[in-house]
Amino acid sequence: MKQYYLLIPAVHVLANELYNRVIKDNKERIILVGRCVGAGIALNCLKSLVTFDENKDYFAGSLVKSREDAQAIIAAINKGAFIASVPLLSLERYNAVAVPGSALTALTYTAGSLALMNSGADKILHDVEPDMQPAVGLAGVALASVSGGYLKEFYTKMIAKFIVPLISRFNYDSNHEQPIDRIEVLKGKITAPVLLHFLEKDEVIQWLNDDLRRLCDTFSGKNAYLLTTNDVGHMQMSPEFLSVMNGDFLDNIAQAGSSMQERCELIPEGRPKAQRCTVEGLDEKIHPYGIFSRMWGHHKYALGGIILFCLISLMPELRKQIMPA
Amino acid sequence: MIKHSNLLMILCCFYVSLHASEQQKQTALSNAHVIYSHPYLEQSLILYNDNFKVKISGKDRVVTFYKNRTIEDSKGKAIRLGDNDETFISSSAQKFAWLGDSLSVPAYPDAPGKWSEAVLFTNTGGTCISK
Repeated sequence: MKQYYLLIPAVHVLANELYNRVIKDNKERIILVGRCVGAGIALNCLKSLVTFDENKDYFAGSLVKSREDAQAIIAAINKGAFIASVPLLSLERYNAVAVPGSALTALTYTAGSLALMNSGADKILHDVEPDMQPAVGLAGVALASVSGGYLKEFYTKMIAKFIVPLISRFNYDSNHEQPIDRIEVLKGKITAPVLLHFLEKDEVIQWLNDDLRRLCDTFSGKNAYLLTTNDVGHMQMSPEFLSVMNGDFLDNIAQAGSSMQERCELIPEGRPKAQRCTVEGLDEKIHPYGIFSRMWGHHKYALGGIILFCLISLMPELRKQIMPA
Repeated sequence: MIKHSNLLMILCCFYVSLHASEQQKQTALSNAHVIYSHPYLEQSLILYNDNFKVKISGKDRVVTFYKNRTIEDSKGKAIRLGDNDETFISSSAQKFAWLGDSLSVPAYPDAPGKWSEAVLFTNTGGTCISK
């Protein structure tokens, strides 16, 4: 397997398909539907089309030869719609890459803690005044929370950059941009109705993070909607998504200018509702407990390592208190 | 009598307009083409039927739906039938066929799971076997 995920060969295939339908077949409207990697390829293709002049060589070898071609394709999509279901925004958010990155972070902190203990560093904590011990502990937590995210990011980047190309026998070009990279170039360029769909419990991709904020910020507007469902796993097509898409979203694109928000309010309780795609309130969703969620979400392994270290360090004291000689 | 005929005319117009709006709902946009950018790995919920000949393909496939014909699967759900007597049955592509009047699926290079298409052939109907 050559692993052309998200890369130029796949983007060219989609660009050629768009060219054939818009330029050759004179289709006025294109409804571009992408799912998972397919949605990632679509985002990469859209970004390259709207910035055609900046990197003309990107489409070398494809049917898209001129800025006029690219603009005609974008215009056709703007008359249609763009639908992305469970889009893969970055390979680093793919669990096969992200989870080993997290595991390596945890292992690093555990190994570091054990090394410190073996070197006798835990005795330093005992020498600190009892009143100051919580402050030292907090400083350690703060240090870990700051460094843990970077460490995880470092590991996931390294896996994406070196391990994935290795697995693909060096067919995967890790220098190619990810769908979320430069996503802001689409802001104001895609004016078609947009539906972004995610699964609450997605076992394949990690999406409830700052990437979602950037995506919503890019597509925020009158016609962009965000839908989260919780009915199936990643590999199945969500019936709730199809229900919303074939009902409300279809009406929305059929009757240009109608407010889907009003339509969504009519949907009975218990059924998923597509919300207007906006960054407002998104931070609360991504980090429901503010700084604590931010710290725990990004640095839970680092925090876990530090807490483990503190517990092990204080173990003799605890033992003395629990079992006095 | 004249009033009754007027009322009848109004009712007829009302029925026709309702019917027309229902038809419009079936096809969202005229001259709209749906491109389904499929995920490389997709759990295809293939529906086998005695009237279908399922074949695997990796080529770009374009199907039009101007004749607006449908067939039913084993659960009674409508599957949109292509004008050339073919329909997408695999993957999720055919679920999006309703959005426009034609549909295509680009064949990405080296996709591990090739999408399959089903060609309808005339034969005596048989029992549908799901999955």
